[in-house]
Amino acid sequence: MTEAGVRLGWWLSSEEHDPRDLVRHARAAEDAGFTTALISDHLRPWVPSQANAAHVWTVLGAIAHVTDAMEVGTGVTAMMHRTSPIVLAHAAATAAVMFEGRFFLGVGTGERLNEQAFGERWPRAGERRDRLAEGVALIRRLCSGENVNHRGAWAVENLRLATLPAAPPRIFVAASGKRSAALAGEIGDGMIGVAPDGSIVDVFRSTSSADTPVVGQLHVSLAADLETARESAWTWWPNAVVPPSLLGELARPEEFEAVADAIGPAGIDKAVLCATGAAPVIAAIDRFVGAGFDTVHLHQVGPDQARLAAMATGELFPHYAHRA
Amino acid sequence: MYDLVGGRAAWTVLGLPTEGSVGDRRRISQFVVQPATASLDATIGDVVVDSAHPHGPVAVLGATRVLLGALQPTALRLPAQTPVQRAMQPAPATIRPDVRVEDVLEQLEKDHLDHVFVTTASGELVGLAARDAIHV
Repeated sequence: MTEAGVRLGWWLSSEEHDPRDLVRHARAAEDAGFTTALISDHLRPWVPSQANAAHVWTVLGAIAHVTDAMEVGTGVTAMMHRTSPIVLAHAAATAAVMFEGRFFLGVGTGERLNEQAFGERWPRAGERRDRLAEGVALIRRLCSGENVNHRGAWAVENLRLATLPAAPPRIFVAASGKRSAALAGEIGDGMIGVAPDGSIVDVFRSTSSADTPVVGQLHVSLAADLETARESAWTWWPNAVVPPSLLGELARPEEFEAVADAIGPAGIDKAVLCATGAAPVIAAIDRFVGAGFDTVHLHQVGPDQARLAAMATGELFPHYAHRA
Repeated sequence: MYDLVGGRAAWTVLGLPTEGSVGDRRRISQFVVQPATASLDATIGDVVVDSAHPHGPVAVLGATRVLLGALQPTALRLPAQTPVQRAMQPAPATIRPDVRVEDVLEQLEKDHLDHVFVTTASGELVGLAARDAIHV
């Protein structure tokens, strides 16, 4: 990829894979030519069938050890009940040291799915955005080595982190709507989006500089035939059919499963790109880039991760390398 | 000479000249800039960005300059042979040329936007209303 080209990333799905496999997948992604990856941070899977949700910071330590050049970020971590800015700044600073400049922190307003276990009230979106802004400001101060005292949604008392990276990690903010996109532009070093929606990027750009990264996530189910691709998508990622308005609000994997079952698998290939070859994947990437995204992270649903690696090496990277 | 059925409102939303207490002076049509354009059947390699507005959107036009879509500047990172039609965002938000400039600025601020396309009521591109190009 040239500096001004299209960048393809690898999505490490903590919900679907054993943590040891995630580490192997990260190494395989780097070997395939990927230079960036995002790893999801969940306390619980979206649906019971996914059956995984490893502690992301433990996995990140191992990924730092087995990769050499690929940058990796969280996609995304929330500061609500599960994680405080102190804990997150501590983890992010250590990860940045371990990755030697290859780590970035992805943050968002979270999902009730990953917070309900703490038995606390689930705040509305506006309050969660306020807490996110406050938390990001604290993380920046802590990761820059400042001695921090703070009273707000969180308290920090006389803390200076001891293990610090040479430079604080960049902080990317997830946005699915216009309010979160505006916030991402105000407080983030980049935006993480989930749909090729140029209107969201326009809002982000109104408060960010023109070269601030915008990265997207594209769910794909690649298989030898379309029927298998659809079956795999439905088996491993049925939550894709759950309406976006519910994603942050449901509390348990069983609830996501029930909603997905009620909707049924008919629309799965509208939410997950089911394909046998590279052409539809390239078309989908092009839509993200046309909407303002400079990086697109590919999430191959299901266990056949090698198929995406092979397609990327054989077709996707060569396609986007030849721009003239 | 125009012969327009539909009255003054229909006249002004087509971007035709007006007089009176507001006249043309306070309408957004007087403040638009011309964005880079591409035709629907073009490829990314055909798109030429205006060096004066390198970060602005590219308007994708159909016949008679009807606005069909928009490309963000990142689209120029795509391979040259990529069809514009595949990468564009269809049906971008638009406003009419007769909207008062103060109202446009207020709405852009409220919507956290830097710009919005201006089209006639029949969809023909008038220009781009960009906050940094509006001096009132």
